[in-house]
Amino acid sequence: MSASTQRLVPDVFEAAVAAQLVADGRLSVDDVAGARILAAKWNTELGETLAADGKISALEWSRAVAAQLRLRLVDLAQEPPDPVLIHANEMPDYIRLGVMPWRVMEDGAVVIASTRPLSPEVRRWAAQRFPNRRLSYVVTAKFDIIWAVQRFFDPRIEADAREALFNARPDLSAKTTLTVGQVIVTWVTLSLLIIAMLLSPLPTAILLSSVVTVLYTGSFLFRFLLTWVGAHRRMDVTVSHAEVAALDDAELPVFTVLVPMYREAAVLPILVESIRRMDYPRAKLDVKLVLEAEDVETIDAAKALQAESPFEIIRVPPSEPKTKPKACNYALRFARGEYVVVFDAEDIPEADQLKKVVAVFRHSPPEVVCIQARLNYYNRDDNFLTRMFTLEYSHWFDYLLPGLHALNIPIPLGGTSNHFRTASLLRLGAWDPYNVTEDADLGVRMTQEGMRVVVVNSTTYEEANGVLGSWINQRSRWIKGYMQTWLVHMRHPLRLRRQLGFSGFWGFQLFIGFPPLTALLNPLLWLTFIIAMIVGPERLRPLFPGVILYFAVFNLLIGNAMCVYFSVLAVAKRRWYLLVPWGLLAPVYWLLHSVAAYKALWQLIVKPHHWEKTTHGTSAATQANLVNLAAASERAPRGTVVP
Amino acid sequence: MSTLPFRRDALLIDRGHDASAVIGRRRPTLWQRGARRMTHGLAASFGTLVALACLALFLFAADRVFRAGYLAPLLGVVWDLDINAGGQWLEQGLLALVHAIPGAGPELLVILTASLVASAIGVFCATLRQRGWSVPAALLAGLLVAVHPVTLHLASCGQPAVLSALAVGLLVLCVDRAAALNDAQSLMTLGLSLALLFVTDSNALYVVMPVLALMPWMLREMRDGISSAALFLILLVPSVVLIAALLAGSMVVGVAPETILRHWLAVLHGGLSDEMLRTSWLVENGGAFFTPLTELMGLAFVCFPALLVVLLRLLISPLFLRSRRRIRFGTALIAVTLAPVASAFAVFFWHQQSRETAMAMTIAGGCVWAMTVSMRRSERYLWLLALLAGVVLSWSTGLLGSDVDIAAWRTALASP
Repeated sequence: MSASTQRLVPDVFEAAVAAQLVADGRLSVDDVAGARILAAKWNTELGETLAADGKISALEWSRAVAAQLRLRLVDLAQEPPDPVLIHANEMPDYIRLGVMPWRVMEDGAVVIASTRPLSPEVRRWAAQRFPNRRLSYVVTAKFDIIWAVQRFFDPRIEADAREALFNARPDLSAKTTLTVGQVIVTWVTLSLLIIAMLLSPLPTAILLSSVVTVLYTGSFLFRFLLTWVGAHRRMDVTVSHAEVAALDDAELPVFTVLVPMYREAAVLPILVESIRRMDYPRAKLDVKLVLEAEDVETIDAAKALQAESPFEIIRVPPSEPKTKPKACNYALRFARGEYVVVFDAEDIPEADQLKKVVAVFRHSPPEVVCIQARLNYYNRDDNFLTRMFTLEYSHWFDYLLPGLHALNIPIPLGGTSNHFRTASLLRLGAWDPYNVTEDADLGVRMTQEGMRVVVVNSTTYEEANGVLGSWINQRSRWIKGYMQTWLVHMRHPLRLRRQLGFSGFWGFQLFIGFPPLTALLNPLLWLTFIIAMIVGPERLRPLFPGVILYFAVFNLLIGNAMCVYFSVLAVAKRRWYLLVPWGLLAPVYWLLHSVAAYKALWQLIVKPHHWEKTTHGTSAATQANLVNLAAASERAPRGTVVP
Repeated sequence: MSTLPFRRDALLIDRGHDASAVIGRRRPTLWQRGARRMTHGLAASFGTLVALACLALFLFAADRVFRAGYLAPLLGVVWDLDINAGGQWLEQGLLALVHAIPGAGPELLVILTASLVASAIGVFCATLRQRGWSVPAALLAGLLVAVHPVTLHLASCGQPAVLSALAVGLLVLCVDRAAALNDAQSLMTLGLSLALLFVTDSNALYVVMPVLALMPWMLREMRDGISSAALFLILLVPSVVLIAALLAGSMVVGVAPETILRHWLAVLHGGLSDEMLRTSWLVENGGAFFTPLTELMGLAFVCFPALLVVLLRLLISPLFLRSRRRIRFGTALIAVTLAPVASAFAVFFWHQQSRETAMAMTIAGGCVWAMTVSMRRSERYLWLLALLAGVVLSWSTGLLGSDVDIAAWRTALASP
């Protein structure tokens, strides 16, 4: 997988190619000298290094290689390979090695198109692929290989991206919202409930109120436990600066970065700039800007950025469901990295995040297949919504997720900044394209398979959604996704119990199953409380007999206040003290959750796979950032890194 | 997860601490981990044994005073406590639970208080062992605390003041932890311990106020107005929530909030008229601050001279000891001053009827301090000697004899 960790092309040849480019005036001596130092430090090829640094394009380098070798430079878009020579099961090799069988000559020789025709690995592959055949080579460019692979395998890759998980494990796919068994159980339960309500309304109401009350109590206590455990300073996996500094760049693997985007041309420069700032050998980055083929605006914006060689545009062919996980699944087939991470377009990860992840992976047992970075917001002071969102995220990533990890409960991964071992992710079937919180679902599936997730001490800053309508859309998608995830994994509850163990199973119920339910039930309970206040608590007392009343009072007073307290406490780890008083307003925020929950329920019924797109770039902080980037790029010449 | 060699420390996340120590730190070997577990296990077993011994001692004493006719009326008062007395809500909750046990009588209260104090002493001894104290030294420390007249009286008489003393001890422990670690969990714990104190002791306010006043000095995160306001909010929200919940809960179950707050509010309003003149000590000192403060401070050093070791450390630590040893400076200050200051405030408002409560808080604070510091061997011996002297002085001089309850209890205990 880590092609760049081995020197594939002889130094002397690279030097000759570079010298030719200097002689042609395409590169300066300083460019080459600087790149040679970097290439030696990173253990990468000179051409890769120059292209990664924006000194030269991948095509220009290939052209120079062809000229030096006196080989033909082939444009695979104009002169595609012979389909007879192309095999679907070799696709990963084509991507990884930058190689494709091209034509068979009249004399029977097989012509191989490659970006590195001198590479021993390419030669070995060709010899194994075509034993006892005479081989000759032509040169092609990196992007030609990608285009050719897409041309040949698009239907297959696209189908895989959509259906691979469903075909392999239909029981784990959200393509079907409710199985027949679930429909029957739901129907029988509702029927019995209605009959019971008609025949014996009070006992039935008491039963319902008792079940809900006990569940709420369990949920409150569970959240307290998670917060308590997660609040401990020893709960965070910490990679220190020194550990990061101790990593040898030459030993670092290729890291694939997937950036799925849809109609987000405006915020694209933020992401590109963030990637450029990463403290990671740029020649070992494999950045895929994953764009919908029909999203011409974003594709044009991405091209206009004239980003360096590590940035590649992957066009996802149009098909339903049009979801982020499907796009990621599609792009994953083109990944060259040993590790892969997903970032959103407006993400600003901390510069050393990739190195921290490599450090943790290296010291982790093989069952740790995913490392979740913390998410938080850079525009937290915009308005009420962004402040509350920040409190919520801080509680989630700084307390609850470490708590879940400590208690061995499935971690619902956050939307971005989850880093995977690529091979493990592919083996797992990658993301479920029909689940609108595919990361949460993936976290559960990983735990079921005995894999583990670690939360690392690196933060990715995002833009908090501060527009009410957009916030509700986004939240409704998340809640709908949790509903989908719960329904999918509860198709076989006994199996789930066996796979997750006691704490994992009940943690799953309370952390993934119960929150959507509480968001739906809360308005009913608030209404009950208001009615009780108006007509007097005595009138509703029959619904809460005996000890249930004490549980209900505990939930109402202590449980809710406890959740408010968690909001107050949420930013204590990050020391954002100005936000602390805002935690007291959490109940107002919960109201919005309930609005989103009802929208989610409705969508789960009528359009379960619909992806509510979040609009990015609306905050003042983002706009200011974009203006700064635009000004900086005007000052700096193309292809150089803006400091 | 356990195989990861990284230090898990939330405080390092955003602070960018120098990490050279992290790199230099080696993972404990399997043998070291096994040895550590065994040490913890042995310490816990040792603590359990000490707790059982203390329990036997307390029950023996209880039996004696019961036979002498001292205990029954006292327990009856507690047993029949007005459920709406307010301010000591934890006590009322426990009483309600005990009442709900079929066949339970007032005697059960003695078992409860004896078990609580014995367990606390067990934890104390186990912690001392983990801090490197030898078995005889830790055992001696535990037994000396147990035979101290204040401890023995509270544990063997089923008195609710035990809960207050334990809550204060817990508070001091949490303050120490928050000052030393300053992580989110320690802040949370401190906030919860304040809340616990508020529902345990109607005089909690007098304890909490001095503690809060020291917070800006003890919590290094309180650097400016904003951080101080935020951290005070984090510390006080649990208390406010709990009291508000009690009020609202009382309304739901049909009890007037005024009733719930009656006893508690009385503290703020200068005491309850029918309780004011219950002890001569309060009659003599009520409404004054410095006189009872001086007296209580002096009494604390006589009855629990182990505080001298604390004071010694307090005075010399900034001069001679390294910063690592000075980290408990704030805890030491609280251990020495909290009980007298809080009690003096309570007396000023005519609301603390006996000095025994102050002494119980002093012992709790002093023991917690011993649990939190790494003492040199000489300091340990000094601490034990001082503790021994305190026990002897307390029993022999009758300094606490002016408290009616203790005097009668001593007579009953000494009766054939």
